[in-house]
Amino acid sequence: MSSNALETELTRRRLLQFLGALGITSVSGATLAGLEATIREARAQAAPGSVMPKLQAMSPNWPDMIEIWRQATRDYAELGLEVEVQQGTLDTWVAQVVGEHKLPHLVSMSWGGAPDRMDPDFFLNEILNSKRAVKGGLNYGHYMNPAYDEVANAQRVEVDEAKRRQLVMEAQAISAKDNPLMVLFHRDIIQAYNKAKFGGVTPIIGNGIGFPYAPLSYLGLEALTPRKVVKITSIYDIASLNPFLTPEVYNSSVLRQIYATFVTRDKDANIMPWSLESWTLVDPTTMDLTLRPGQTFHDGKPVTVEDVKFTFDYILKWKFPALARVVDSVKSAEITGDNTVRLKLNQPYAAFVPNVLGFAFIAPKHVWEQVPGNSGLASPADWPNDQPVGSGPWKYVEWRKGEYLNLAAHKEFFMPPKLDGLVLLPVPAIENQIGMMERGEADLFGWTMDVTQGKRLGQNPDIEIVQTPTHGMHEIRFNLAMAPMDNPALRLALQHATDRKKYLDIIFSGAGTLANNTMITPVLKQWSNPDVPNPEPSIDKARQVLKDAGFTWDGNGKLKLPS
Amino acid sequence: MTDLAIAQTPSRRASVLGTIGSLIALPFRTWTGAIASVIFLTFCVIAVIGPWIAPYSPNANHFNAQGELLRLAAPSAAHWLGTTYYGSDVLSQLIVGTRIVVIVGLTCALFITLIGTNVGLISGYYGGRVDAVLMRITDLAFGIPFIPFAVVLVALLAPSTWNIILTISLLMWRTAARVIRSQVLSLKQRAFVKASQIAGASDLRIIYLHLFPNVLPMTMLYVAFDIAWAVIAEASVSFLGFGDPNQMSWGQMLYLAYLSGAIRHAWWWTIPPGVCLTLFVGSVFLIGREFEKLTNPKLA
Amino acid sequence: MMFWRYAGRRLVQTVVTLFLLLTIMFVMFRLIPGDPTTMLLGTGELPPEAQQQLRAAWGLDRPMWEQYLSYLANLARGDLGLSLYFRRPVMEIVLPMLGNTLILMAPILVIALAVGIWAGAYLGWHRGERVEQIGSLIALLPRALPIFWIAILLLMLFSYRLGWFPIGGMREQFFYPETWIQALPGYDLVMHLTLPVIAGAIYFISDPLMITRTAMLEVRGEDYMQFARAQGLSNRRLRQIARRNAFLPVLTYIAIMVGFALGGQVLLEYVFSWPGMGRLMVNSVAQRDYPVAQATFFLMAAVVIVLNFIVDLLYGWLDPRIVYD
Repeated sequence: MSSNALETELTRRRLLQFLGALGITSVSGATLAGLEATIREARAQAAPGSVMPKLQAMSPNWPDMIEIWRQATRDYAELGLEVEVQQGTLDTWVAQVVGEHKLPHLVSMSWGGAPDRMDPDFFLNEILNSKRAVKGGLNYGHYMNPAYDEVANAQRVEVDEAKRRQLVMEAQAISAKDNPLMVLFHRDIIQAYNKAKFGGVTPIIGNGIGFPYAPLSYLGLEALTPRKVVKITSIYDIASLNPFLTPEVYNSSVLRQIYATFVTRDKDANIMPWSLESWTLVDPTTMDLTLRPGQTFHDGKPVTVEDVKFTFDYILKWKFPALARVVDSVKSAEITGDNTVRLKLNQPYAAFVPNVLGFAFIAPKHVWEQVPGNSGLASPADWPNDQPVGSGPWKYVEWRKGEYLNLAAHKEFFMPPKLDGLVLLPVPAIENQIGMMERGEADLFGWTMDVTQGKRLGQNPDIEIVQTPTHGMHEIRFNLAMAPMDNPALRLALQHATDRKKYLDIIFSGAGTLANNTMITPVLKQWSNPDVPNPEPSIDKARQVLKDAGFTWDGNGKLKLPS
Repeated sequence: MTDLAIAQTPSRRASVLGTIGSLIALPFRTWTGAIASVIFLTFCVIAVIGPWIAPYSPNANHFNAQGELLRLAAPSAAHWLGTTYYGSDVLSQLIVGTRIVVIVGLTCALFITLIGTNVGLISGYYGGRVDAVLMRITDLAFGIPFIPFAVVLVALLAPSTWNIILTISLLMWRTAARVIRSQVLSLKQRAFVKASQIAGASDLRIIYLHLFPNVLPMTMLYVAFDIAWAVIAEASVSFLGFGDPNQMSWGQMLYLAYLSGAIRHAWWWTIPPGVCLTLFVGSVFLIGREFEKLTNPKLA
Repeated sequence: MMFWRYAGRRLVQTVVTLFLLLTIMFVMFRLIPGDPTTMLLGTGELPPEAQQQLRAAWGLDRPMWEQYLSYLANLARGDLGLSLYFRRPVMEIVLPMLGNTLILMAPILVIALAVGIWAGAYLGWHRGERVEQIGSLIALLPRALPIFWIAILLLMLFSYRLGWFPIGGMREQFFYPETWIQALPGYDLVMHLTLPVIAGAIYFISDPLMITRTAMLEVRGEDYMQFARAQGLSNRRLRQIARRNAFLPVLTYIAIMVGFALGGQVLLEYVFSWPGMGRLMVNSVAQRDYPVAQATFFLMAAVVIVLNFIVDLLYGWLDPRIVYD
């Protein structure tokens, strides 16, 4: 299609959208038609020998992402490639890219350091396994390689850790050869706390000092002034106090402060016992849990194996979508002694301990067995649970939506908090959070800032800045289902044309870990494959790769597809 | 959003072209109007030639002699308005951003006026059921809060300058429609309209040849107001992060400045876009004020 | 009689408009790509299979007309439904935010209207004098300032530079008073309110001001004012008469302004981290929380439409010259 025809097509699309928006009913039709037109257009243009179509990209509208694309657009222009970026808010991005799998050639995203992403299974299977190349799955780039799937599936059920590590390395090697995505870097978490008022801060990999993902990081906090309540900022608020309702990471992590999980992560991010004293894998699908004795719920009643069995039965009975991982992996729970419960699993699952036992929690039987009762609710997930009773280190005091969540120390917890309470403050603007830190209105910065903000805040003599590496990552995904992205040489050339170090320096002042050609950060040494370095950043190399694959350039320096 | 009552001498001979000609010269009659017009025209000129007069490419990253990124550098000889968080030149962004502001302002004003004037004319002239329906639609438009609605439309359609223009136009015609309707209501009682009706002139002829020239000064007043509202609306939507990512605009600059935490420290990044917005919008208002005097001689 | 027939007809129209609005809202939000369950997919915490289950549980897999009918049926019983994001009755979510917004917007409206009407009347009365020329110029300025920029400037100066006021939010948790002034009841809230109220008042002041000024100028030219002056009434009395008659157009505007105020000022709430209606509206759209989005948008629009209706009727009552046809 000539550039003139493209113009006409674009005008037609805009007209369509305009007409659509005039009549409300046809609006969504117009949107989808618009997007479909883009995709169809892109396909039609990828004919052999023709000038390379303008690469369409989609990205969330965050400043770091905007800058990434400004850099990439300039770099790829040197290859004779034009990039046009479409940006949207996160919800639009999720709805289109994940929900509908409607995406242009390139899609960028950054993944935070949620606790379950510590285990390689998340990145290996959720993002690249072909079974997730369906609407709603995260393999929206449609990477389909049976050899990869086989290895990725095998590591998931391999309970022998050494053997599993081999498979994890192998999976990374396969995907690095195929280049289904560009992993840019793993941005450090930069947080701050008021050292004049609080001590005993425990940084944890992937969690830093302020995120609620690892409960341990709040437990060591000590007050240096008479006020023994710490105020922690966050950009989010929780949506519900019901632990069965939402799978959203922030919400469930905060509720795990109240509802203790079975295991948790220590300061080196290793698994450590929490509500459990120990666990043993009897065979690949049988696990014995030994409950830590002497625990109590916040209402004073003891925590028993009855409660443990009840919680699993309850989850299996109601099949809460929020706890899908438990539903998918656990077959049954039986009491085998005063302090022991035997779990039967549906299939062997290597990440069972971190991802299921680190996520499931103990709910008090005496509270939940009456829910939903005759309240008329369809599911206990809809129960407001206004006075949550758990067995975690913090107990519920008060929640004012959009203002604060106030928790008090549960002194009977086996590792009692040194403070009397903690308050989580949802403050949507990061700049306001920093201001509150400076003015002493908040004590612990619970989100992440960048180096410049940290340096400025750190000039305050009361404030200490803490930088922690994370396993989260910034990536650009290729849409392999759309020509010409299915051309491996083009993907390799783009890898060569992407100078990750420059991006990290400009965008985050170098605060982060440069990625290998795998999603698993080099910081997680036991899982990351060190032998898959990124293609060397060099425009010349990129051009050579393209030339070798039969690409040519026209008189204006525009890239042409191989004929 | 001023609902002005109208008093002016309607004339049957008012011609569209003649009225426009005298309207253009109008703002220069007073010194405030003249200054405002000069500011407005300056921005329009910058909008056209911006990319050529900007000292740097707006998104280029600048480094110092040691090769360090000039992150949030204070104003200097090389960068008169300092640099942004990613080391881009603020002045260049400001200059290049003018274009989108002017385009949005003028295009929206055109659409809003087109919709508003026609709804007002038709509603006022026909009265009765047509009027009732059109005015209830206007009520609906008044009831919808602009920014949340913009968020909905941006979620429906992608964020682009075109869609922002569309959103603004879809809502903002409401005031013009109401005011012009009330003016038409009084105009149509006048002798010259009755005379045309008796002479057998078609409704369209009466509306566009007799009524329209008489509401034109009022329309021009709303063109001025609409430019101002549209520019502020675009800036607000961009500030919340729903702007067009491919187009530098003053609102977009403020969005990035705010998110990057420049509001505490880097005044050179936060203040200039706001000042430009204020100057541009203010000049348009002052020009509008001159039209206001024309539509309502009691104000002069 | 004419009046009552007119009122009746307008009432029917208003009800029809509201019903239309309800329907438009229902359809509009469902047209946005994605539904409340989609938003949970983004993190990979909700597998695609569980999403289907959730949609079924929340009734999102039923045809839209079926959902619409059950929505209307519930509405008729006064049940606005359950928020899909919070899983709580919609009113439980909306009311506290509405309250917060009122706390913020009430002082803004009172100040903007009181000062605006007073200053507008003053400027209108002193037409042609130097004070009016300069005053009108100054009065135009706030109109040209984007509200979020006013807010940012106030924050830059009074919170960050001088440290006089808090950065944002509605109140400080565990606020410990150090002086007797700080111990006064409501001290904390007032401190948090001051900057947003100033920003809002600056923004809202110019419309009532300009409208009153224009109306005042018009009234001054009316025959009855000439007549009153000829009767030798005192200047003060003349001004009173003028002010009362100039109030009419201002009244129309108040209706619209109250409506805007109820919807909150998204930008103001955003910059000052104020937990109010405006942010709730924007968030509920982002979360595809249909029941909350519908309720807030409808509430907001309904207030404007109903107030317009009342003002239309009041108009006839206040200004006997108006004829109904």
